[in-house]
Amino acid sequence: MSSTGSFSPSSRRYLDELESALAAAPAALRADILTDIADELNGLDEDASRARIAVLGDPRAIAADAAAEAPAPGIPAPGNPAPVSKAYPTAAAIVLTAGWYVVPIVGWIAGLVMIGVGKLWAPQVRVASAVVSVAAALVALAALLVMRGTDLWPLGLAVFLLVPLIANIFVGGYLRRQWGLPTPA
Amino acid sequence: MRIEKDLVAAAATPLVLGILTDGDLYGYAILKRVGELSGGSMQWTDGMLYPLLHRLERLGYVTSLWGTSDAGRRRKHYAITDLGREQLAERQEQWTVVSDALRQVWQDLPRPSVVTEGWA
Repeated sequence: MSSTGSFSPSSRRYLDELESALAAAPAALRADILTDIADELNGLDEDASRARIAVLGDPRAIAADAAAEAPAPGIPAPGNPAPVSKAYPTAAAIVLTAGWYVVPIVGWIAGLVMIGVGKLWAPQVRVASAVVSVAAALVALAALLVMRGTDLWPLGLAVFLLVPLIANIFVGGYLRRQWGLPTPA
Repeated sequence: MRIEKDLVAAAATPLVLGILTDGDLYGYAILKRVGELSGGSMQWTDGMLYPLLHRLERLGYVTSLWGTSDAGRRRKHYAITDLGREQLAERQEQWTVVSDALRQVWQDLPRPSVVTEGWA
């Protein structure tokens, strides 16, 4: 920052100290502060530089003010919330969908439990998802039982395999979209 | 007299937005204007101003544009937006209420003497 322009020795020293003091500040903030102050010191002789530096203040105080005012890295600014990880809803969707086939009934129930304990879903979302998944499961089981031993047995098996798959893929996508959203009024 | 930080923070947004209604300014010019308007009682640093300007920009109350300083260097200027003017009008109403309330509370109290010690 202090390498461009025409600066007196005290100005260069001041800008170097300021740059070091601002090392932890967000890059855009650091650049704006350094640019602004460099502009004020550019072209001043040694005496004028010292006078201006006295007005600008201690670089450490400027950095402390910046640290106090600026949001720390990782802390979202107001109105700009941090992104929420989709890992949990993705896992729940996979368990719900694949559980039906990999560990029949038990795996699917585990998926329902994951939906029930997911704290970043609104209660309405959890209920609606569970209702759709259970309804699909009941249709699948009914088709399997009703068509067992008849000529329609392959159709019953197809319904048993496909209806939960389609319903749970739909529910999984819905759950991923709704994760972390505020509860509707 | 030094103004306490909490009060400075509360006044910062309407003060900067109000200053920018007179025209676009760069950071150090805003600081100088704050000092002039407060008779030197509000001494801000760049470290206080720029986080505020960045926040106001994120909220859409100000916008930044690149200009050129007298020395020919690129310099970032700040301008108030329409949304910023709306926000300023809102803040003005709030501060008017606060100011009126304080004036009523204080009108019968003796005026404190001005304290100047400890002032750099």
